[in-house]
Amino acid sequence: MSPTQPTVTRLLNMLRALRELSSFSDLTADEEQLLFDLVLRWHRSDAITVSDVMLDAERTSASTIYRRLLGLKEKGMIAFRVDQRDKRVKFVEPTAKADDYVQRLSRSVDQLVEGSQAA
Amino acid sequence: MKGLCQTVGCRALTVAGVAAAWVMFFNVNIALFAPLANSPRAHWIFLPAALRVLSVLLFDGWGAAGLMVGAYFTLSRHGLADLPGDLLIAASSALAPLVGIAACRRWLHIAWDLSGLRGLHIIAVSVATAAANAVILNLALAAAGQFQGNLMRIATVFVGDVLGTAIMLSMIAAMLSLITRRVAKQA
Repeated sequence: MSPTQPTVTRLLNMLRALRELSSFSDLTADEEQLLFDLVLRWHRSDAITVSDVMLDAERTSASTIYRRLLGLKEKGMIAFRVDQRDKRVKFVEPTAKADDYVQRLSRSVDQLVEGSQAA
Repeated sequence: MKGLCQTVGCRALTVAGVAAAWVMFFNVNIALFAPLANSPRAHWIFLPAALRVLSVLLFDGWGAAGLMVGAYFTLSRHGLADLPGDLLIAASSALAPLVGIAACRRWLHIAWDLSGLRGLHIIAVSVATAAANAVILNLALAAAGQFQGNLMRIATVFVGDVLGTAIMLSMIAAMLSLITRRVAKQA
C-alpha cells in the first residue's frame, strides 16, 4: 500500500463511518452521500428531476431516496422547482447553503490531502 | 531511491506515531481509570483499544507494528531475561486487531480502501478485535508462563476493550459531528 493517497481515502471513508455513530449530526451520512451524488449530477446537467434521482438508485429503494431528498429539502440543502410545461415534473436544485457546504467540505478535504502529501 | 526513502520514512513515521499514540492513551487511561484496573494487563475500561481498530484499519501491518512497539514500552518490566515473554505479550496487542479485522473483512466484505464502511462495521470490528485480544493476550501470557488461570481477567480484557473503544469512538464521532454541524451552520 502506498503511504499517501490510499491512506487518505481510507481515512475519509473511516471518518464518514464514524460520523454515523453520532446522534448529533445535522445531515445523516446517507443524506450527505446523496448530496454529493447530486453535486456530481449538477456538474453534468442543470435539469435533474426528482424521478431521475429516484430511478438511478442502485441498491436503495426509490421511496428511501425520496425520503432522503425530503430530508435535504427540510435542512435547506436543496429545493424543488415545478416544471412550468408539465406540472408533474419536479426539478431538484441546489440552494446557496448546499453550494457553500460542499465548497467548505471540499476545501477541508483538499487541505487534508495536501497536508498528508507534505508529510 | 528518493521514493524508497520517502516510503520507508513514511512507514517509520507511521509506526512511531501509532506507538507514541498508544503510550499516550495508555497513560491517560491509567490517570483516568486506575481504580478500574483488575491487574496491570486487565482494565475494565481500556481506551487504547480503539487505537488497535483504527490504526490497523488505516495502516494495516504498519499500524500493527506501531501497536507492538507501543505495547512493549507500556509493559511494566523490560529486563533482558524477560525480553522473549515481553515481546510475545506486546505482539499479541498487534496480532489481535489483525485477526479481528481480517475476520470482519471476510465476513462483512469490507473493502481494502474502506469504501462503503458503515458505523455498524466499525462496531463489529471493535467487538471482534476485543474478543481476539482477550484470547490472544491470555495465550501469550500462558506461553510466557504468566497465565494464572483467572477467567475473570479474560472477561475483564474483553469488556475493557469494548468499553474503551466505545468511549473513544463516541468521542471521535461526536467531535466530527460538531465540526460538520458548525460548517453547516456557517454555510
